[in-house]
Amino acid sequence: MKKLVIIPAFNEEGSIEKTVEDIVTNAPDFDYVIINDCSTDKTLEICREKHFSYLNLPVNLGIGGAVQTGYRYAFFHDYDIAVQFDGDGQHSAKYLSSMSKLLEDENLDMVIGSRFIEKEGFQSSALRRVGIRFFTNLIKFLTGSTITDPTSGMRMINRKLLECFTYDYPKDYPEPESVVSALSTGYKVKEVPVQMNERSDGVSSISMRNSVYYMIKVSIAVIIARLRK
Amino acid sequence: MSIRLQIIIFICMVIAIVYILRLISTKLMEFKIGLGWILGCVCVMILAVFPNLLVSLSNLLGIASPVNMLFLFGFLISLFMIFSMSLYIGQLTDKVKKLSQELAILRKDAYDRVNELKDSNNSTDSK
Repeated sequence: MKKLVIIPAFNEEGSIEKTVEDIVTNAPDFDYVIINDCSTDKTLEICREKHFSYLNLPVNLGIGGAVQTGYRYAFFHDYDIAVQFDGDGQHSAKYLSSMSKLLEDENLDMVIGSRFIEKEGFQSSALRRVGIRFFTNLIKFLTGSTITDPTSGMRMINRKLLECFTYDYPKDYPEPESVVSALSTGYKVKEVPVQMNERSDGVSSISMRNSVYYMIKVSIAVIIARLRK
Repeated sequence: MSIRLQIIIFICMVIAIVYILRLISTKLMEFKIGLGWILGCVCVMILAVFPNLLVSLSNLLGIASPVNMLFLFGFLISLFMIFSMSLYIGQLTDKVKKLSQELAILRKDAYDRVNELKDSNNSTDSK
């Protein structure tokens, strides 16, 4: 079983080292690869100096394109399982082995780490939770499945979904949309409770200014993803 | 439509066509796209040269002044070209994305391979 951790990184000089250390010590049976999406800070230099395993994108592709690069790498290097893992210190690698065990044992296609099952750890801001709840309800309405944390960036997929996402993955804000395409194609998705930390460094890809765009874009994209299949 | 306007439109279209042909021959514009613009120019030119055609067309559509028919026509052609550009940009974005992803992966593969070879060389040297 070859397993890969995909770490999309855009300006994560303050946290990338800790993230890699966390994976190497707490998820030793996983390989990892950092996707440097044209960071303007020292992320690339740190990767070089420390001899981290990294992919360096020549042009900025955004979060969707960066994660897809990881999926593509995993697919063509014959990995069986790939997991997206944020480079900003929000995720903990200690959950990875139990997630992959669940994926294998229950023959699932996607396992999502959810903050909102046991409601422990960093819970995001109240305003964001309202937005996330909205998407949970929208996805429930569209697919009949309950996904408590559809925006979670901690998601593990098997080789079948890996192939799908290698060829087709949303460009920006891909999380809710890709869950809906997976669900509507009949893939099995399950959530596990995880605790997340507040980001230790760097800025979120969703700022106040573009949160309106986020809500509109993701809502429409989710509906289109449901209709497409 | 006055004869003066007819001549002005005709000359403008000729200049545009010559310019586009030059862009195509110097490879600055892609043939397919240039052809679209030239076809548009030729259509406008025909309407400017044969105002009778324009008059009957505008009567058919209920447009009071034939010259407005010409403007509408030009506008629709421009709209069509802009729309096809949007499609074209979408395809290009997708290609650029795929290429950059492949490039990043190839670079890592090459780097890993070189290191592998270095390691195996070192180990044979030390033996």
